Amino acid sequence: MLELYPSRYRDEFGQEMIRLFQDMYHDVRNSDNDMEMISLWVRIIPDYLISLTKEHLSHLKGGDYYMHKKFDTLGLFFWITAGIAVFPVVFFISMNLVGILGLGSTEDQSVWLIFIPLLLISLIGSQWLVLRKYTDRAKDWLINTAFAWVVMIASTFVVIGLLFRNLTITEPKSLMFVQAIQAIVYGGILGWFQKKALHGYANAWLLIPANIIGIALIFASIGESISSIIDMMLVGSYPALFTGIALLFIIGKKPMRSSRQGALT
Amino acid sequence: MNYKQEPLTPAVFYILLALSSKERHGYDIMKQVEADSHGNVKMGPGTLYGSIKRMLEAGLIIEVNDLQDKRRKFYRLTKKGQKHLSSEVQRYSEVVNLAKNRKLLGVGNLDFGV
Repeated sequence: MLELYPSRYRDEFGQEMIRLFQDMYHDVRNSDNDMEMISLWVRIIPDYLISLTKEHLSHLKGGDYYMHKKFDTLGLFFWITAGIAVFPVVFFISMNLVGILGLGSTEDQSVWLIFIPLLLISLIGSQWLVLRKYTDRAKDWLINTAFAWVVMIASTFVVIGLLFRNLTITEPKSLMFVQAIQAIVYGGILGWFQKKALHGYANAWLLIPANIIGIALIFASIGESISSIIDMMLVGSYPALFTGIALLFIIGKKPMRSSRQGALT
Repeated sequence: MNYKQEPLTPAVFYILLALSSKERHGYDIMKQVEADSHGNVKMGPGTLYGSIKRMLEAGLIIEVNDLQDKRRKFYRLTKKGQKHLSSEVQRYSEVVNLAKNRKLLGVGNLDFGV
């Protein structure tokens, strides 16, 4: 009977409900009155049907913020694998799309015009697919991360495209300094939005340093040039690794409280 | 939506009342609710844990670990839960006072003149 409940509800209360039923059943078996058994089922079955409907409706309305599953090392494995796997898949699709859509040669810039947006969409999509197994804030994560990228792209356009368009940095030390600032700004924006998505969880602030370190390592790798898909996957693994480790400490515990109220009346 | 202003459901009210004296696990809560309501509120596992889930979400109760019985989840009233229970009891008390003033208590068959 429990199998019909939404999975997160079952994970959270399933064992408790079984134990409660066992206690009730045990009490009825020990009583002398035979009618008690009938009365037990008359009580259990309508209650089951009503609560089943309620929990599914609650789940359909956007889920229950309290519902939670611990993000463990298996979660970390899926998180990193998803973060790395999107690179070759998206690259393969982009190369083929250029040919199919007749956008020119796969050697020129048009591949990147398809590859980059497709990569960003696939990355948040894969993160959402993993996170939704652990928390109902996955949807917020998807929206906030997409929004953070829009903010990052817009700010890059404003800062580099408009304010410093004539600036050329050739000195390696100056370039490193600029990249360090970029990593702090980009990582800070991304981490702040993701922290907001995981509201209620303790340690959500860890996403800010995790993103800064991940992005700083991407810049450090770009400096050494990326020549193959393996390089890209390696670069992609940095933010996945660091945000994944942060998630171990964040979704390892239940959220402190819900932002949702009003469900009691 | 501010649920503080609104009356609690009987299930939530009786669960808060059951937890007001001590921490309890699910079956203990269920038995206490039956006793406190003189058998008028009988909950099944679905209603009980559905209410518990919503009360956890709203921060009225918290889960606590019991060292003696690690197999079960115990629940405890939070300060917020205590406040809600107090205001609900106060509301009931005002209704009882009103009923007393209108001499409605202890009347078997009320004739409302309809």
